[in-house]
Amino acid sequence: MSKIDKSLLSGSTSMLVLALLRESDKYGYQMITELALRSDNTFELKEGTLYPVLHALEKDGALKSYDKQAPNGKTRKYYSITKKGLELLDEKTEQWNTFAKAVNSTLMVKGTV
Amino acid sequence: MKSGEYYIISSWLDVAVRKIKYGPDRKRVRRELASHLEDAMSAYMDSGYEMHEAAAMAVKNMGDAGEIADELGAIHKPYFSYFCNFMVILALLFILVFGRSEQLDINGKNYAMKHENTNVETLFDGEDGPVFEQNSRVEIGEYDIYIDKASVVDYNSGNQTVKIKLNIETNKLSYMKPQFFRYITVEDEGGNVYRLEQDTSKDGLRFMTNYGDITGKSEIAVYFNALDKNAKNYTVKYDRAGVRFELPVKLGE
Repeated sequence: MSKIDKSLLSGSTSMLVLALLRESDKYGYQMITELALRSDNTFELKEGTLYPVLHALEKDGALKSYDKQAPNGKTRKYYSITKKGLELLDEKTEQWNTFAKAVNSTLMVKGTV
Repeated sequence: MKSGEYYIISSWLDVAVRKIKYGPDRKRVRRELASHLEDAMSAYMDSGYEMHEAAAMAVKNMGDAGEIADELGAIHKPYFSYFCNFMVILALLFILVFGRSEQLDINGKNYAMKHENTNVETLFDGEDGPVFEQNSRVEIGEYDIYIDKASVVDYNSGNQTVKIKLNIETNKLSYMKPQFFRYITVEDEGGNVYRLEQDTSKDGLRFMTNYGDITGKSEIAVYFNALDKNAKNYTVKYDRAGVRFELPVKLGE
């Protein structure tokens, strides 16, 4: 599968992060590996760019974070989604569906698909 | 980590966090990014790469440190952090003056104060499981140190953990330095060691508070959350600057 243009992905990273955290609390590296795995490496974003997204969502109250110690003694920062985050995810998903539908319709009119 | 790998990682981190002006924020973010790089390095090394290759690949995959620094700097504005600190101080002063509230939740952090009617049981939120009963007590100079309570706690959220409350009584609270607490550890029967953390949150996995009644006898409570809920035997330890004690804690069935 071909890689997605970086600019296409950047706007939707927060939606993908919220969707991942809806299932369970996760730490940054875990999110990166799951995103890559689930999308068959289509969503292979630069890993460091995840953190500004996470911190912005936390600042907006969509996420909360806490430290948790792994059995090997290593402490990691976990993120969990808040009620506000769940509402934001619904909103973003709806916007995404509307956008995708409009893009598909346009492409079909032009005979591209 | 060898010096070469350390340099690669450290240089990237230096640049990535340089625009976060507020020191504590910068430290926290650096720690988080460093943890990510360590995980990535471990994964590459597990796949058969040499350490220097793993470090280079981990850093490369993080992306441009300068771009990330710009984004992080824009989010972590120093005045916001200073404002939060100011609000925390204001709220604590409010509690001191009015002495009404036992706990305060600000930005997910929990602050506890003692006043006349403090019921320490309320600090053990959630439903208690088997409660420990044991007379573990040691006297060190002015200090009388003992285990006040240890319990398995089931939070409503489904988290289960073990809390140990260590009390330190003294008539000379003003002489007790905060550093004293930082070197107290709890070790479980599996050899896992838990240390006190400065940053705590009530619903997270760590919790610590201390408080003192400045008039008369002083009492300081220190809470630990032990993470291995299966362990039944713990030891509270302190060994520093010639002062040493070990207090056993056994949880009931």
